[in-house]
Amino acid sequence: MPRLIDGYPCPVSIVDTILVYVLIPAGIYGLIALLTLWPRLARAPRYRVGQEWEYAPVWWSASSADQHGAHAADHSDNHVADKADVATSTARGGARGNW
Amino acid sequence: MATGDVAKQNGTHLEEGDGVAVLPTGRVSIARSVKPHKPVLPFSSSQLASLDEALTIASRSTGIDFSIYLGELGENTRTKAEQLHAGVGHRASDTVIIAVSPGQRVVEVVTGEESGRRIADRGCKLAVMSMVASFKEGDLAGGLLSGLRMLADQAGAHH
Repeated sequence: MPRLIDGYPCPVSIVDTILVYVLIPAGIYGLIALLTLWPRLARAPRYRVGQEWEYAPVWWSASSADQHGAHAADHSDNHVADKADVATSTARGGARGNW
Repeated sequence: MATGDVAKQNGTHLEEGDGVAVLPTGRVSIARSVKPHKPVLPFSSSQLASLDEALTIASRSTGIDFSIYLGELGENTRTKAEQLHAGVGHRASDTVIIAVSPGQRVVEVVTGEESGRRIADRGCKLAVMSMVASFKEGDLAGGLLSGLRMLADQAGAHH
């Protein structure tokens, strides 16, 4: 025998109502929000102008003949400084700029 | 302490219970939580791949060794960049170094004897201006790519 409210049978309880009308829409909203924000959350932090550069120095080179440049520069730092005292400057030109 | 080093027990500051266990042999076994490393560089793998490709193609097509240095350049940025150039060794004459220090917002292009003959200072300046335009927007990888391509175009084909 179903519960009667104002003389009508009321088979849907308060809990059922909340489940259907609140939880399911909230779940759908949450899912959509997650799908929308996920690419931004999952992306690696990108560098912005003015931020501190707290990454280790790198030195990329394409020459395979001399692997010196391919190593991480923290090795070459001291190495280069020592060498430069002995060797004369090899730089002949170039340009510089800042931003 | 490096992996495999023998830990010496000094005093009794090691308490059992927080991942520390003294084995019957006297060896101390310590469990440490592994902290995730910070990303090595703020570049995506596709950006790194295109940089790598651009470096390879630029160097192969022109016969000039292009290299990119990304990091602190110290107080005297030009001197440091020239030291890097000198450190290349016997290939220095053919080398072009693009040295970028994002923390100091400085870019230095250094050419050697042969590479300076192929790429005039005016061409370097043009490439620097192009790079700076991208760096201003925070696009380091894009700036390096366009600078590299412009320098390679200036140098012309390998002969």
